[in-house]
Amino acid sequence: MTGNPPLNLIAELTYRCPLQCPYCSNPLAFRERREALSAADWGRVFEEAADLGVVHVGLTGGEPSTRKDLPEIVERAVAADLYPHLVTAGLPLTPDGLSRLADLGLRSVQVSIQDATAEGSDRIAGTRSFEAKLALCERTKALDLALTLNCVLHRENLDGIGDVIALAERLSADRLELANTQYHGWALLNRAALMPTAEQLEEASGVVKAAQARLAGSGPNMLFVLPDYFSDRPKPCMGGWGRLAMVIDPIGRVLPCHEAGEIPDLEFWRVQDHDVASCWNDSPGMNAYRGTDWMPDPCRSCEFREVDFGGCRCQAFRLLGDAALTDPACTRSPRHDVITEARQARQPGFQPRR
Amino acid sequence: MSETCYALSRHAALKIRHHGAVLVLPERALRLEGSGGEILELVDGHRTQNEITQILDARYPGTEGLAEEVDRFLQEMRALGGLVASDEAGSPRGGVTTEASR
Repeated sequence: MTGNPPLNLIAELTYRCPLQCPYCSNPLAFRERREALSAADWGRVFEEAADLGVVHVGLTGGEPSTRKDLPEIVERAVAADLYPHLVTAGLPLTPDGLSRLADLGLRSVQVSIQDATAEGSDRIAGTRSFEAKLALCERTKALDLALTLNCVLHRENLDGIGDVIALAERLSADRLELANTQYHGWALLNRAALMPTAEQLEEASGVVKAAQARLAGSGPNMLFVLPDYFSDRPKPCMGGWGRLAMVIDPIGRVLPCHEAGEIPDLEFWRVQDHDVASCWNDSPGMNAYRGTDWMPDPCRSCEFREVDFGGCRCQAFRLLGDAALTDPACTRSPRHDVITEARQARQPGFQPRR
Repeated sequence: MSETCYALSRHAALKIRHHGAVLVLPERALRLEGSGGEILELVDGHRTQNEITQILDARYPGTEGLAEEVDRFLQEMRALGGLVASDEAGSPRGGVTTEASR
């Protein structure tokens, strides 16, 4: 089966990051090493991706600005006619460094914060970083680039969601992503420390709705989705496996999402060995869960099979040991009990990412 | 408002690929169906909605409901934040790029 042309490329330029967030989606075990792809390699990848149909590239990581050649990578994305978007924790990039990237053609920036206050944000990030983040947000607006503020939500910061919204307003953010933690990588390891209560989520949801009504389209465009652990249907992970977005990880593998490279026995191809179109269309891993033919029951006969695509393969693998099963976040999964039990399992104290 | 001029909003870009036209917004990309790409290629901050309709009418003579279709599409793109009316703040930055010009 051949995939549709993807529109979006998520370019993970590195795993390195100065922060130690307990919900990091980096793999738990990776050896620090030189990035496999040079700026020139990324340039070739961008050209091939644009030929395939990609229009937008998210430059992410890890923290992409730990790469000294980030300006050259931005330049190459522009040369390939991609819309370059930077996803950053706010450091080590400086405001002047951002101005340089804007001069080279960067169009939009997403800055993550960990909480609405310096104390809370720096504690969760494990690194003093909040002031640097705010300075970068301000420069983004001064440069007339689009600004998205992102805050990953969990039990320790959900009650401050109103303050996060107020901060986004003060910074004149164009978008605010209020992103409930997804339990992969370090977040799964720290799940009991991060798991919110149903009451917290209900309260937070009400605060967001009230803010949306108050702002009535004038403030930041807010995105808040109930976490899959607390909703009846699974999330339509990445809009379907190998369907809309392509991830390329720091070692050059073309993947359907950030996590899929962790599923054993799936063979993904690397851009060092094949062109981007072949990696996307023909690798066994990319075709393993494309479409609906792979689906077991209850997905196979479900009226939502092309709405949520059976949910998240990585979650099925992590929680049930088999990526081909229905995502247990779905109430129709025979193993939904692993989710309802995890919702109740809360313990204090998280382990920072190493 | 058929004398209104439109421009791509300052954070939007129009990309033309083999499989068709795509409107790109920060963190979002929309495939444009039908004549959507052609309409946006004509949007330059100077042409009026009427002029755009006339150009398309000359390309596809006798198309029924063309003016309504152009109006509906422009309003939809404006609501999504992809277009601004020329009397609003903002000017095109990225412009249109095509496979051929890369």
